[in-house]
Amino acid sequence: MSQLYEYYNEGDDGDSALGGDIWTAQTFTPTTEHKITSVKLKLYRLGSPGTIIVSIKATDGNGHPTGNDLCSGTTNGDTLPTDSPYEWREITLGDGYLLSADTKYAIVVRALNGDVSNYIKWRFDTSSPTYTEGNYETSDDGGVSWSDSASRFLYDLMFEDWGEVIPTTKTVSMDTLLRAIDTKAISLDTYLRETDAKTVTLDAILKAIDIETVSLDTLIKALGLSKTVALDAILGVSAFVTVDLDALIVARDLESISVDALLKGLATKTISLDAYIKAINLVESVNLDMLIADVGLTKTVALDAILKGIEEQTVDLDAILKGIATTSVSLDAIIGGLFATISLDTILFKALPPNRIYTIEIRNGDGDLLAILENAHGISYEQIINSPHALTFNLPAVDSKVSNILLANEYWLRDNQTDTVIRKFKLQHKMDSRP
Amino acid sequence: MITTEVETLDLISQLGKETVVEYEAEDATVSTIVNALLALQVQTPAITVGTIDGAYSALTRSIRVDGDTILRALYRLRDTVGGYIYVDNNRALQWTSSLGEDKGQQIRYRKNLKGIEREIDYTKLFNRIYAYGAGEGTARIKLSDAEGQTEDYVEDEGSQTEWGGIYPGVFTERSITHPDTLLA
Repeated sequence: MSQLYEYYNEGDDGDSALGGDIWTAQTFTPTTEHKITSVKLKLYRLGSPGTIIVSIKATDGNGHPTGNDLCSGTTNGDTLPTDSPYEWREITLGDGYLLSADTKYAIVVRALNGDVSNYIKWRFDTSSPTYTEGNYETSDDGGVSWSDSASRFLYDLMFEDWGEVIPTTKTVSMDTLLRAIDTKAISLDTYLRETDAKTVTLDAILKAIDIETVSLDTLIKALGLSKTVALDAILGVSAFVTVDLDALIVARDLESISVDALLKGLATKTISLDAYIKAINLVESVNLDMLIADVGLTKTVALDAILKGIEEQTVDLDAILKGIATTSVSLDAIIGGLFATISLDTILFKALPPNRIYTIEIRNGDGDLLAILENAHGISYEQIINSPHALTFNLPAVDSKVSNILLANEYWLRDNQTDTVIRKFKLQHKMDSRP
Repeated sequence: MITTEVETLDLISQLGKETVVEYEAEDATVSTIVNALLALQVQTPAITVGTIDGAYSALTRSIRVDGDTILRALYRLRDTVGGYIYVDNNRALQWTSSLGEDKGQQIRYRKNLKGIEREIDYTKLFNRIYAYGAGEGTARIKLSDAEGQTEDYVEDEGSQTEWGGIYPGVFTERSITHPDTLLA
């Protein structure tokens, strides 16, 4: 809906002729930002001036029109009246142009086919012009230069600037929109299509809609725009058991996804481990404990799958063994999959007879486990106040681990019931004897 | 069947294989003395100073150690102060006023060995020997006084490699009055 903005449309008492190289313009300054779509000019003609071109131009520092047309339109000058009462002719300016407030522009009119016998007359006020935000401008060289004569400030041409309000829809807050809608019947698809804002919060969407009917695919597709969305928010609100993890994973290309959140939300045993592992590869902080404890895959999970899927070095073998009924684990599989990152410690501990209370470990100076003396017997640990505590034990001399009993190593006495090291020892004496 | 019998002592025993060539402190706090003694260690990883109970740390004592072990020096110091000394599993020396949770823990068995086939006593293993002759304090005859000798000790690097560490010992023979004789 057009509305009138700038204008000077009363008090005309003369006219300015234009045609050929003689161009005429009226400058004006909008007080509000708007989109100019057309102008109305009070005109008449002499002879047949032909097509009239009307354009909007910017102005230079002297207030003269300058540069290319910002927008323009034409009208047939030959259809104008030839005398009073003249005509307020409307010229549509194509797609229009957004005019800034408090900036001076020019309405430039030319009739290129005009001559001394065929020209346009644009009515103006020569006696008491009152439009203070612009003035009359004229050029006799086809707009190359514009007159600097002081007389230009003595006239104002008859014009009206018609236009539209600039849309301000982008400033609408999504929250406001949702509050206003207050309906559960709204289609999320519609909502998402309408919304091009990347700052919309998921909370706002979820709060506004009946979440049970939301297609997760739709939600994910929409949320792909935003990397700040909290997965917790999706999973926390949605009680989906049929959630397609692949879809979830594909939709999320960010690296900060919390596996905790994933597992907490997916309280399902139908999760595809492959999918899970594929997702975990994105994450460096994955904890295998979580995989086993939360997903509850335990006995049916293929160890190969876990090992193949997890390429990180921090995998905790304890977690694997705890999660998987330990006795059925193939050590080859563990070692083969985990390469050098496996803790020998853990393997050896798992291999110990379950009824042994105390064990003696041999470790090097860095604390690395070298051997566990499963065949140690006659273990004696004696505490003497303010003297070194003594640990003695026997081993079959043929035990291959005897070779690890060296002065440089340490001997740790461990309580298997509490899994604590009671005391660490240094070698003092070694003796082979026959009973 | 031949059995290998192994005897070990807890980590504090490491200080029993650290020799204090010469150390003297007069009216120094227990804390100062302990820190100074542990700073003399040559084995790695070394025993560090843990917590010394406030009842003892600020007490002052005078002590002279001359060719004895750090461990024995510590026990001597403890005898004048009180409390309990041990090295925890983090290799830190603790000096407490009570025994704590370890008290009474004992695992024992009886030995019934008849014939010894082979025996190694690691407490008698030394691969760095400090040798001293006649005299006291800085006036003592020592190896560095001998011709071509820069250190106060001689050592067996091959043994140090074989046994995985430096195990110092002190040899004193006060009848020797010439450093070259000491070296010989």
